[in-house]
Amino acid sequence: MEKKLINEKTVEHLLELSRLKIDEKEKEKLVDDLNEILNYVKELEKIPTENINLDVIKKSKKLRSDKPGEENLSDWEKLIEGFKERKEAWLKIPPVFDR
Amino acid sequence: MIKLHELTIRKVHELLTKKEVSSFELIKEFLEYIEERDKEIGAYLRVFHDEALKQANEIDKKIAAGEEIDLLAGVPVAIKDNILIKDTPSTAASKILKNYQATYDATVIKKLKKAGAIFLGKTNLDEFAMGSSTENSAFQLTKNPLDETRVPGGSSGGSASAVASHQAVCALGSDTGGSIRQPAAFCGLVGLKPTYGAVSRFGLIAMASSLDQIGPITKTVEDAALILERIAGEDPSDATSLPFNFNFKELEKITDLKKIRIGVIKECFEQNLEPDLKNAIDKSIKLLKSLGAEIDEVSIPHIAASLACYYIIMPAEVSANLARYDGLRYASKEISGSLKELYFKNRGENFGREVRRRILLGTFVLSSGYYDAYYLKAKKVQKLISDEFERAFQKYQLLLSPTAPTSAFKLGEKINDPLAMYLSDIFTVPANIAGLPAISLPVYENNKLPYALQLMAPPFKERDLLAASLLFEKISAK
Repeated sequence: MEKKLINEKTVEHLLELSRLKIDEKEKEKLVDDLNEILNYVKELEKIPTENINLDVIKKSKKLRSDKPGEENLSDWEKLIEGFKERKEAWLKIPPVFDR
Repeated sequence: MIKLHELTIRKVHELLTKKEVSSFELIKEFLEYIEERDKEIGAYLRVFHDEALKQANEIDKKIAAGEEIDLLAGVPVAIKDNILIKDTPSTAASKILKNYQATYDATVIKKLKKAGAIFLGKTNLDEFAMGSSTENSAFQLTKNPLDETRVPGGSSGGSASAVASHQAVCALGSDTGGSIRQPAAFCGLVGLKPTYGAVSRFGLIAMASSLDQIGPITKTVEDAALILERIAGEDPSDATSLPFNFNFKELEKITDLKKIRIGVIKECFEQNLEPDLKNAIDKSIKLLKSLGAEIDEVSIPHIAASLACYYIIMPAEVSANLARYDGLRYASKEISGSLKELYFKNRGENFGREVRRRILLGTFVLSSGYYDAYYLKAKKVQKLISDEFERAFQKYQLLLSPTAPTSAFKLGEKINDPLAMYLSDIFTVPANIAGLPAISLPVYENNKLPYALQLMAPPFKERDLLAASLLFEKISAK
């Protein structure tokens, strides 16, 4: 019998955290699907990993100096044309707090 | 009359340089064929009719002026719609990017443009490359040209079906857990996932940044190698790219596999494989032996845990990467309300089912109280698996497994069972988990649909991988 690692309440919390919503009628199937997947990945707990050290980095890459590149990589004027609403070059958003 | 189905990169180059056909004529022929054929197949989300002809004219001018042209010049290429081409839409097959116009070229696009390749259009995929059948596209269904009742695989299903139905000579895809190799396998093509870091990811719409890699889907190994030669290399715009050059000429020096030891991964054959697949692989092993390779079994004890690792690490990165789609940028449609309402409406209405599932899963495994049990554990097992591969590569130059546990499955067969869908990537995911280069090569047995063989190599040993693949392809065609 599979363990229920996640219930409807947890899913509601996750939806809130990730700013998503779903149809009520989808919820039951979603909870089942997530439980099935989590039960599958939970198998990892049987694998001993006490001796694994994640702090050792084998190959380290030489980082570039913190200066802007010479090349103009993107047409920023065009990029901000994609803003929903703008004021000059600024992204304009609805008020965060109620007045 | 040009025979589209016979074209490879080198053949196109010969036709053009011997002036048997102009680039314009060739591209026009492809565009006319796409207009007919793609009504059935659904490989393309967008075709660049005028722009492709304009590019072709440029190539013709160069040829007329007697300029030397690159092998890729004038070659019609299809591009997966999660790779940016400046001033054209890039949707990643998601409603949330429906109106988005790319403002720059991906590095791979810049490199292919420089070589003179011609982009015929952008191909369908599972939304944000999340899926194994291309059925998760928000826009259309793509059929497998070899059997139109079946899926082309995914997520680069549009790219694979475009090449398999001769609507392009070759294509670019992206591979996070098998998304180049599995559709190549299902469509009887060659699919190459380069080493993580060999090809720049700049301009690839991110899914799981520590696993994503761009690579070719082609009809032949030579074509895959020629594309890799042009797209590989370190890029200042992608901090995870590493110095790597691949030279096609090096392959020509290798004429047999006498110094090559190939390890057949034992664990991949422990499950009940379809008898025809097993036979096809056994035949391939014999062919590789006849080329001089020394072949025996090798164990990667925890390889089977790769998929579980993947379904923790990948969603974790997905949940972070997709947080940027907030409904305020990327030309989202007009929705009003408070900031919070806007987030919920845009993300709730414009992300598809699989994308939402993975964001939730990722949010869960990263959340306080679960991080150690899931995410950290998966990162540790990932290291364990990488170390096991490294040990195996001390003895073997290449490792062998099937690419997928089945041939192409039916449309609709797995779409309502996420875990069953995930399991079709069981053999491809380990290469992403360990950052290795891997190639899928078609193999046949009784069955009218192709199976596929996968070869893996140590990081940045694409040369050995492609040399062996080239020889295998040659001998299996006999």
